[in-house]
Amino acid sequence: MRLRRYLNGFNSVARRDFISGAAKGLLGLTTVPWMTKFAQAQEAGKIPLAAATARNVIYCYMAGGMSHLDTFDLKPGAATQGPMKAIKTNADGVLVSQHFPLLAKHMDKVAVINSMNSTQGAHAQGRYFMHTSYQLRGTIRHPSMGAWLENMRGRVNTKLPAHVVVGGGAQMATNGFFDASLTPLPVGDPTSGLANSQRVEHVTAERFEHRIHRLEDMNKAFRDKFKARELDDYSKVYQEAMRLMDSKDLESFDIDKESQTVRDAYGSGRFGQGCLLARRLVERGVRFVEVVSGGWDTHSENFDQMADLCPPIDRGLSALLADLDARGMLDETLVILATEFGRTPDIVEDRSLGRNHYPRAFSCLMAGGGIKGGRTYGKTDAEGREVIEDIVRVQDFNATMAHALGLPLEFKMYSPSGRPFTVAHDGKPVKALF
Amino acid sequence: MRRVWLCGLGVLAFGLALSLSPRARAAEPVDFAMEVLPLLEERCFKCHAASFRGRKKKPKGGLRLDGSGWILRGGNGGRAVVSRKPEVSLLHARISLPDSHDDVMPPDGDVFAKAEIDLIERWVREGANFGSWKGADGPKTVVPTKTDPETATTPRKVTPSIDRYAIYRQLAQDLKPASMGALKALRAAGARVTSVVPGSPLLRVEFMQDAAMVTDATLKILTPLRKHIGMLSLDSTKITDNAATILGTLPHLVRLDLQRTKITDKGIEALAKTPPRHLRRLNLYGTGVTDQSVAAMTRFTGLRRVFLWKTKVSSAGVQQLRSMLPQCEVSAQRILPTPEQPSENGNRRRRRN
Ligand code: HEC
Repeated sequence: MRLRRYLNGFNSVARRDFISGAAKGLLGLTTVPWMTKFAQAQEAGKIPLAAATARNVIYCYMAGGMSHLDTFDLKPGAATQGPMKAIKTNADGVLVSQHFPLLAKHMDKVAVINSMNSTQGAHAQGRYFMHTSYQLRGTIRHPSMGAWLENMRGRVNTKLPAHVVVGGGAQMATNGFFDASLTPLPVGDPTSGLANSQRVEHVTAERFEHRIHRLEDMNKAFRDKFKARELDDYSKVYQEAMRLMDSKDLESFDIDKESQTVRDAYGSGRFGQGCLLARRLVERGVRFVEVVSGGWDTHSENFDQMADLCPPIDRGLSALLADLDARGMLDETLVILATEFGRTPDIVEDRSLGRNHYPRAFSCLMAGGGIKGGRTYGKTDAEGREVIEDIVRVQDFNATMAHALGLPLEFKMYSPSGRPFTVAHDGKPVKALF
Repeated sequence: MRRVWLCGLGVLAFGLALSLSPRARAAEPVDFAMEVLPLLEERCFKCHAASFRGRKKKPKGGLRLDGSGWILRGGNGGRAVVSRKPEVSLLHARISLPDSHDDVMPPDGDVFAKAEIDLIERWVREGANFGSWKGADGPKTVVPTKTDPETATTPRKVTPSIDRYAIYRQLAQDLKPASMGALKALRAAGARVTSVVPGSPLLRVEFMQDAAMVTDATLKILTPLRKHIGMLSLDSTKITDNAATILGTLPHLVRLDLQRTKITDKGIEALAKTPPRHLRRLNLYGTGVTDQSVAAMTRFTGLRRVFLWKTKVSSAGVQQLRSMLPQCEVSAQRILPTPEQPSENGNRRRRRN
């Protein structure tokens, strides 16, 4: 079974996290009422929500730290640019690197933020910060944006999870201290995990029934032995999984339903297929889909690696923007490209032209969902070292996202230990982007 | 131990859920507009259309590919496509030549990938059906219509950000909140009902998860709330042209989503008789509307955004709509990237990503 093989790729801790995540994700399907407590309170007029320009998010995450100088903050002629070339785009004055020729035709839809700034220079800390707006601490887990969104706004389609993560092994998107039912549903691999599983061919309906019955027996025996309360929830998980299987909702996860031409247009790799899956899911009412692309930690051979890393993003993101636009979905779907930090302007020669971690200045993208495209926001100096205009801190970036989604930035939610937290910590939204 | 078991159960359920995903994909006929046209647009229109990126062009070899009539007529060498006979269809023949051949099309840039050639071959074999697509008016018309290639590279004007909710605030001014009973009935019919803006009495009504159950009859429950409906999505529902009778009675409708329904020109024409005065955004993608609807739509003078991708509206129709409603942005195409070519750079280190 492919899933098993996929899971075996993780170390044991990651595997356990993934598995319990999967269970909780399914659990979420059964136990979350169609409106959460928060949404009910909001409906009753207790919590003011702002008008939203976006209702969904497709959050493309470049894990490892994407070099800003080699993607969206080009410095032609500067010594720090190295051999990377800039190309023009269909938006006046917006340059992208030579590896984004397809995206260059869609930059009229995209706002490039070149003044990102983080305080976290290590991967785990940087990712955590980017996802939650809070620093990684031993004592508490903070929720990420998808969980805030579901908690505050409820689901659009109650039969599907509100929050899905595609292709990310590491646990970055998280329910944090929120109820376990707000855990994102992880989808390992958009192609082999769902559509092409060999099981489909050789599990006949009969054998499947048999298997289910055995599971039920085990379940019953187990239940008799341990009368734990949560057990009922877990057997619901599995009933829900069965219900889901009959349902046409599961088709939402099946990118085989898309024509081959469309699949090819998105690119055959995980990222492109993940973007296609994200579009399918959002179209059916999933609110937050994170698509993870790994490998951006280019300490050595930065320029050779970029030549491999960028094209799938170029293709996947272009196809996604064109597709969302034609369907009338782009104006309500915020498309994000984010990463934990940039990479050093100084090129490390003794590592075959590598670049190291660089949180002081980096670049992220926003498109759709009410964002005004075709321009850059913020600036770094001539060599891409320091932000010199319109600094956007990580929490400001997240506050901007929350603002687009109409989430109240001041509203406090309390952790079990009674400490107050807000959706983007102390972030201020960049209203100039709308 | 217990935890391990629970996790195991979860993952088993999860695995089964995943593996049983319905995959039987019937061998559907090739959809010209969706699958073939984007290839031609991206790779051939440069030389085989009456105009490209707004500039007039003399089609090479006398062959135009920007309209079904033109494709059927063919170029100097005769018909470009012979239904069911890829072997004698010039269009197929010229793209299937080896890269090194002098006559391979396109002569510049990358040759077609095997999968693309196969797709076009299959399309010809299935009868070279253009479906709803017509493209530029065919050879018989005296004045050739200016086609609008609308390539993805045309820079789009950056529109200044507007308060997209101002209109809802204005419309909600004298409106009392909807009655709980009517809201309940609506929800019971499977609708998702929210406020267009938090706190507003104007409603956003959509049938997301039970769309397939919604018919014209369902829409009757909208009547008690007719003044409260600001946004209505009937995406993928089973409604027909008869729905127009009810849609025409919603005075505060600002956004209407009819994509992927059976609505036709008849429905749009009926709606145009009493056009919702405030209608700003109309989504018709994936419906059977034609240029006839364009004429009707020019009566929706408040329109600011229309979606016409995968409809039968011709590029001339799109052009007409744009000139009649200059304030309205019309989306009619989806230009996806052409499929990637196998890398000629085989010795470069491939990373797993
Ligand atoms: C760079 C310009 C250019 C592009 C791009 C191009 N062609 Fe051509 N094409 C020509 C020229 C010039 C001729 C006439 C000379 C010839 O027959 O080779 C021609 C001729 C043809 C003919 C023969 C017409 C006839 O009836 O004699 C076909 C069929 C054709 N092209 C198909 C295509 C297709 C399909 C594409 C897209 C994949 C394409 N071409 C892209 C320049 C181009």
